[in-house]
Amino acid sequence: MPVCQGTNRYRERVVLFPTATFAIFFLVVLTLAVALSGSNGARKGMLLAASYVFYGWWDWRFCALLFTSSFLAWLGGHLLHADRGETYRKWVVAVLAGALLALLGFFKYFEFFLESLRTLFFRLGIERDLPLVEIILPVGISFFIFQSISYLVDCYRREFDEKTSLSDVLLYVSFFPQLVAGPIVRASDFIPQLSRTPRISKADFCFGGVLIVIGLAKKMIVAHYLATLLVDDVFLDPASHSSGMLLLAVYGYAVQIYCDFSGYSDMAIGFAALLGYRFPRNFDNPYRALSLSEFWRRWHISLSTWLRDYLYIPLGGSRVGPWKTYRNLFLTMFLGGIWHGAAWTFLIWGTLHGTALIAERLAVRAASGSGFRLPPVIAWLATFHFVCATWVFFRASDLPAALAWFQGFAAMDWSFAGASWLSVALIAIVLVSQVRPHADPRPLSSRVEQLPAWLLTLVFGLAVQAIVWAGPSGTAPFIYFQF
Amino acid sequence: MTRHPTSFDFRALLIVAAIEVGLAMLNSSALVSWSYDLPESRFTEPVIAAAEGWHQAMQAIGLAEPSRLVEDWRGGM
Repeated sequence: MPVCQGTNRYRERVVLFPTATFAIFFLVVLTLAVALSGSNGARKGMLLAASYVFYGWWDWRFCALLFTSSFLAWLGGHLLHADRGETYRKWVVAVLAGALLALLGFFKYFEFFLESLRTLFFRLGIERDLPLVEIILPVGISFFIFQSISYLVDCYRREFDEKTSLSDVLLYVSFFPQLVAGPIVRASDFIPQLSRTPRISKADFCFGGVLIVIGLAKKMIVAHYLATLLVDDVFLDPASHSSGMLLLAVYGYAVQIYCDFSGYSDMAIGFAALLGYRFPRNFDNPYRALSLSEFWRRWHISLSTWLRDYLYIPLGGSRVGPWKTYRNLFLTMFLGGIWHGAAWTFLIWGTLHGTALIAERLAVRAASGSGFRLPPVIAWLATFHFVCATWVFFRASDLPAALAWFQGFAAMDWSFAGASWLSVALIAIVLVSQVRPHADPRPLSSRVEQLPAWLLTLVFGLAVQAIVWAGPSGTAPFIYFQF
Repeated sequence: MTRHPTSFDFRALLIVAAIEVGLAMLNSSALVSWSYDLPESRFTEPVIAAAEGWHQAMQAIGLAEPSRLVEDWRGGM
């Protein structure tokens, strides 16, 4: 059972970037940011208050959870600055990271745990009255808990020279552009930026503007059309569709989730840039990858590198001999899978990726002596189709629905009746656009930067209006809001 | 405090404000729909009245027409 079922309506209250509510909110924030640019402290205080308003718009009660997560991280950093030996430091980081993970575990997995236990007792014929609970999954909890842990561990690793104030840690964890769906910004990347008032240069503004326009186009045109014209319908009832439509729908979902999530990341990076802050990029043409390990260097980069630096490397990484390396790789992907949610489908998705990464390493090791390499086209096809096959588990509403997809696909009925030319064109355009080695908006933003301010206004304004006219009406929540 | 000579802050704000006003002019009908979907509070009624008034003003000067034509064209597809 996906985590967000039954709470979709509730989740619609999250302030989405492409809405009038956010446009008004951002204009007020930008006005205050410019007015307060003489005082870094006041500006940061305003951004902190704005971020809590942004989160509280969804449900103000969960602001306490956001505060608790940030406070625990700050407390850890504070205690770690008291130099009392390595054992003490390890205890501090273990206890506080454990507390943060317990918060995540309770909200994200407790209901699933009780449900699974109830099913197990039922199958064993044991009658047990387990409490019926419905826990609301706080929006963005996986992201802000991981950011809090990032701060804690970076303090443990002494990546900050000075103590960070509570208000700076609160702002780092809650900063609204990345709060509900990332990118997962590292404490060591963001907190140093808070030490001075950022100045918005024309280059930053154009970079931010270009990313916002690209992100809007990805979300409002590509992701939205693919969801409504193809993916939602097919995945609602996979058993009633031909193999051809099932294949087209999974290609569509691969493109939809990329455009939905990378579109959100682009906008988050763009809005942060308009306020003078820099976020790391989160996607880099992932569907051009020629291997699974390359895919993970290009997909959700902020999560992949978080898992690498805070889980895989502390476990020993690849410096501990081949079998332990494989264990570490598997554990990292397995935990990466269940990070997405408490559902068998995510567990299988992570397990498949972990197993395939191990198989890939074994194959590379075996082939390294012979000098054999797969032709790039074959390597691309294999990587892309493996990723697509695992997306079936990621997208399916539950395990039977995922299995129904594979059963339908195995029927080998290659009819494409019902496929729209627009869906096919969007899939093709996005996949072809991935051919470039890197997704870098800088060359485009440098060209835009040459324009005078009035023309800049016209270009950005018309680009946004064209997207509004081109996209379907309404704004669907971002897929990653459920994580 | 002296401002940085290359600071673009104020012009950035003007550009964003101009873009948003432009979008509000061309999408006044969508603004009315947005106001109807707002959660109920003591501010909702005045916001709805303002959105409806704005839409009427945009209709009067013809700026609501392009979005209506696009909607009609898409509806006919």
